[in-house]
Formats: sequence, C-alpha cells, structure tokens
Amino acid sequence: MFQEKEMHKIIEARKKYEEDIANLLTTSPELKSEYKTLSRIPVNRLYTPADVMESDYMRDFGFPGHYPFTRGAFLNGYRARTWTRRPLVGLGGAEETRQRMLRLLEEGATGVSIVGVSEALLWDSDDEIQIGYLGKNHIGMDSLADFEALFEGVDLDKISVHLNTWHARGVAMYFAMAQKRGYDLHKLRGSCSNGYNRDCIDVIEYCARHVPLWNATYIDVRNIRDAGCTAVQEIAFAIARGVDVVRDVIARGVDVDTFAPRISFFVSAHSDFLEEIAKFRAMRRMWAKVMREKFGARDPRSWILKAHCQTAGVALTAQQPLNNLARGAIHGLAAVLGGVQSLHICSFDEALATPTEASAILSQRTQQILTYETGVTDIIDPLGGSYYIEALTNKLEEEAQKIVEIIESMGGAQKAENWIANQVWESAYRYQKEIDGKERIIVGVNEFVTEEDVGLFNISLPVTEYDPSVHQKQIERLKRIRRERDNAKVEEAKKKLFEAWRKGENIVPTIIEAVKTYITGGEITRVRYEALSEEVYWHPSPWLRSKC
Amino acid sequence: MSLKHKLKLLLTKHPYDGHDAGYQVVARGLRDGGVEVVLGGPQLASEIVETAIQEDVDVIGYRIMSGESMMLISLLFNKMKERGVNIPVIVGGIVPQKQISELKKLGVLEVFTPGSSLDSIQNYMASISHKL
Repeated sequence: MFQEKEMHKIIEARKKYEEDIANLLTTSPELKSEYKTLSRIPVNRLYTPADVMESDYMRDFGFPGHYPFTRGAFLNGYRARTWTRRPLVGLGGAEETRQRMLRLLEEGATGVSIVGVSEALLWDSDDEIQIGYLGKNHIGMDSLADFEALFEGVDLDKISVHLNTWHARGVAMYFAMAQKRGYDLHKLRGSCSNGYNRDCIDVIEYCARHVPLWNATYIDVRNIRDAGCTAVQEIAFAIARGVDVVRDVIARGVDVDTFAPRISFFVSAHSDFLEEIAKFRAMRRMWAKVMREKFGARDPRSWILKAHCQTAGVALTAQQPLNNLARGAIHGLAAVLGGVQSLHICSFDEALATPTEASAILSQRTQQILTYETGVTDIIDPLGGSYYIEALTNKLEEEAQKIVEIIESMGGAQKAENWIANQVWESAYRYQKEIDGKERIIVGVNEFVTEEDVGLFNISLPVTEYDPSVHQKQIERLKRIRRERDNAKVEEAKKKLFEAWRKGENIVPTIIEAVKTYITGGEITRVRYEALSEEVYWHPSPWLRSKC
Repeated sequence: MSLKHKLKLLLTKHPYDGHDAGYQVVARGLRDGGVEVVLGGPQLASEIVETAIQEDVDVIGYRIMSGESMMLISLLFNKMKERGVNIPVIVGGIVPQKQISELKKLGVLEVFTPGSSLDSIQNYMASISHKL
C-alpha cells in the first residue's frame, strides 16, 4: 500500500527505533518477559506499515458489504440499523420467561434469545433427570402448550426471536404454534440455533423450501470458546463446522444460494480486546473465501458471515462480581468494533446464578451506552487500517487456516470432533495453569483479592433465589396435558414419527404435525431412540456433550 | 506434588451440566497431582453410586453448576443409603456461600467454588489422602 521507497524508509527507521529500545531496556526493563495475545500469538511493541506490506487493500480489506467483507458484513455499518440487542431469556417456566422477555423488550431490547428450550424438551418434567435443574438450568417446558403460554399475546411479526434449540422439535413447536395462530410459515421470521445431526440438517432443508425467511441454523462456536479454546481455534472451528454443514445440505441436492444466506454464526467476545476485534474481521474474510471459492456460491449474501455474539461467560468471575460490569462492557465493545449483527452482554451476576431482572436490565443499559453514547456506531470498522489490527487479522487467518486444514484432512468437523475436543481441553488447561501461576492476572481471583467489591458499598448483592414451586407447577401442567389431550392422536403421531425416522424422511413436517397433538419432548426422545438407537445428547458437541 | 497415600476419585457431573471446561481441567489437575481419576462423565445419582461401588473409589468429586447442590447431594446420599454405602463426597461448582456450611452438615467433605486454583485442590487431596 506504500511506495517501495517509502517502505524502505519506514523499515530503516524501524531498525533505528528498535536499537533505541534495546538501549532503553538496559536501564528500564519491561514488565513482562513475553508479550502475546490470549491465543498466545507473540505481539510486537509497535506495528508499522511494514507489518502489512504484503497486504493488498482491495484484495484483503476492501469495503464494507463487499467481498471479502473484512471491513464489515453490510454496506452502511450501524448507521441505518444498529446491532440487535438480543438478551438471553430463560428462567423458571414459560410464564416467568414470558414476563422477563416482555420486560426486557420494554427496556429497549430489540430481540430475544430464548434459552433452555432444547434441554427442556429432551425429557419430561417428572423425569428424575430434571431434579435440581428444571427452572434453573433450563425452562420448564414439555409440549406445545408451553410454547403457547410463552408467546401468548405476543405478535410474532413484531418480535425478533431466536430459539436455542439443538434439535428439530423445538423449532417445530414454534412453527406449529405460529400456524395455529394463523401465521404463514413462508413469511415467518426468526432464527434457531440448530446442531449437526440429521434432524438439524432436515431443519435447514425444510426451511430453505418452506420457511424461507427463517435463519435456520447458526454455527455455534461461542460455546466452544466458553469451554476454553482460544480465539484462533474459535475462528477455525467456526469455518470448519460451517463447511461441514454446507457440505451436508448441498449433498441433499439443495442449491447453496438458497440456504447459505440463512446461515449465521454464534460467537464469543473474550478479554483480549484487540484480538477479539481482529477475530471477527478474520472470520468474515475466511467465510467469504470459502463460500465463494470452495462452494461456488454466486449470491453475495451467501458469502457474508453474520454473527450473534454472546460475550464470554468464562471470562466472568464469581469473586468481586461487580467487576463483571466492566468486563461485559469491554467484551461488548470489542464485538461492536468487530462488526457483529446481534449481541448479548452477559450479566454481572452470571457466575453466581441466573441473572436477576435488575442485572438483565443493567446488561441492556450497557448495550444502550455502547449504542448511544460512545460514538462507535457512527464510523464503520473504525479500527480498520490500524497496522496492528490488520497485521493481527492476517495472522489470525493464517493460524486458523492451518487448523481448518487439519480438520478437513480428518474428513471435516464432525469426524474430527474428538480431536477438536482435546484441543479445546488442552487450551483450557493451559489457561488455568497460567492463572494459577499468575502469568495471567485475573482481577479479584489471583490478584487484588483483599476486598469484596460488593462489601465495599456496604450492601448485599441480590442473587436469584430459585422458586421451588416452579418444578411442581410444571409437573402438574404436564399431567393435565397428558390427561386432556387426545391420546389416540398422540399414539398415531408416535407411529408416524417412528416410520419417518426409519425411512430417513425429512422429519420436520412430521414433527410439526406431531407436536400439535401435544406429544411431549420426552415422548419424542423415546420414539427417536427406538427408531434410530442414537444416544441422546442435549448438545451435539463433545465439549458440551452430556449424555442424557 | 505427590500423594503419600494412593487416592482413587470418581469425577462426575449431572447429565444436564453441559459446559465442561472446569470438569476436564480439574480431572487433569487431579491426575497431575497423583490422584487416580475415574471419569464418570454425566450421571444420575443412582449411576454415580453404582460406578463408585464398582470402581471402589475412595471419594466422589461431584460437579454441580445449577446452584441446587443441596437437592442433588441429598438425592445422592439417599441413593447411597439405599445401597448401604457411605462414600465421601467433594463438591465443585456454583455453590452459594451460605449453602457451603449446610452441605458440610449433610456430610460433604469439602466444596470448591469458581476461582479455586488447581494447587488448592491438589493440596486438599494430599491432606485427606491418608484419612480415606
């Protein structure tokens, strides 16, 4: 980007500068023996045009909304539309979740992400597995009746809903509820998480044909990040898993451009501020290349990596919890400077319990401060062109690409799952050892531990107290549903599900019809197991895998 | 560090405890500290007791992240009673401060909350290894 002569001058001046530094260090040593990012990429003290001399502006950076999307997914950044402020909502049962959802929308959230649906619909509320977890870890939900209660009186056209579902039944219940209320699936908007088993690929295929405005899958790497991997690994796993999903759907004869624009990514934002910003940029550029060059997508919308970010829960601390307010703001700012489309900032009390209503609102306020007060929405990719950010973006891509190639050589992300899991655990262990050895300082955990922050204010922190009646209430509703529904229809639905799974048909239309009989999640699980003998997991990944 | 006495521990968690970075890190930390670790993975109370008996472990490490450790620990102790065994239990995870003493009253040996260093867990194991 600079003339050769100019570059030569910079390189020479840089050498001189380093000599001066070397002299300085004899009398004024540096605070750390080694400087590296959270992904352990060594960093220099200073970056100059010489660090990006191999880059070509139009080829590598370009313009927002244009290939390779390094500078942003969309043309006009946050000027016409800021990111969706999409808090996670999920506590107690359907009623409690509905109430929290409406309150947060009233307080300025522009979307919601319903969490705890997937787990709830694996086993019925009166199953032993639910003890100690229903209403805390996930919502109390069993059947379509709970979806009807959750969205009662809510105009589905006016709300941006994301469903955290890793199987077909959750999204099927939402679709069935929408149909029963007279919505046309062809016009229904919203999104779901989705996993990688055949039911999940069924969802993508079904939506491409029948629910075209529904964002049918997002590639979850946020939860891998929270399991302890690095930013480089997060990028690599995102691309590798995305490639796997696209390959599977194409194998069913679906044209790439009919479904790829409806894929999005679920990503984290951790503590290394600048590395996180570069991460989002590198991820977008890599995805664009993969979609255009590897899969031959022609529609530019297929090339765009759209991201929902949930800031890192693993970076928050149970000690001195108020400090998490500062952490959340910094994580959120990184996501915004990295150009995400949707954001949830973890509440400061998340390391202690399900956030209280007050702390969930406070998390909204943090997002609103970022939106309205900081000015960062006015300029697109304001850190683009920073020698460090660009050099780091290049480096992250280069390192992540190596991992993507290893995974591809193993036959793709699903086949390489165990290898990936071991990589994640290795990173998590190293991170913990760094904290234990004080190579990495975590404020309030291994340094500055003397004062409790809440205590400083002479107050006690209200933490969510779980309502013990939620579980019993849900069991009663479940019993009522089982009593009042037409059980002959449920049995008929079970047979149809069994047949469809056995025959390998796309399961979604059958599940949509089945859930209208008020068949429960636990019943669906049993039929599926009888038909396929596949083990039951609440999440499809080994690093989150819990055999239920 | 090394243990003077051999210690065999069943490390387990609830099937709904998905995120398992801490579980894996602690497992490795314990092994590095000389503890023989049986990875039980996700298990219900009755399965935990059966595994503990079959593997003849000295102690159970139960990871609980839902904040409802009282309920789950009571369930576990009840299952032990039914099987006529009494195996010591250590809890790791999200445990509200005021519940820690209540858990100990129920018979839990020790509780490790978020932020505990691997060293502190290893040292604790060394301190109890001769008693179990």
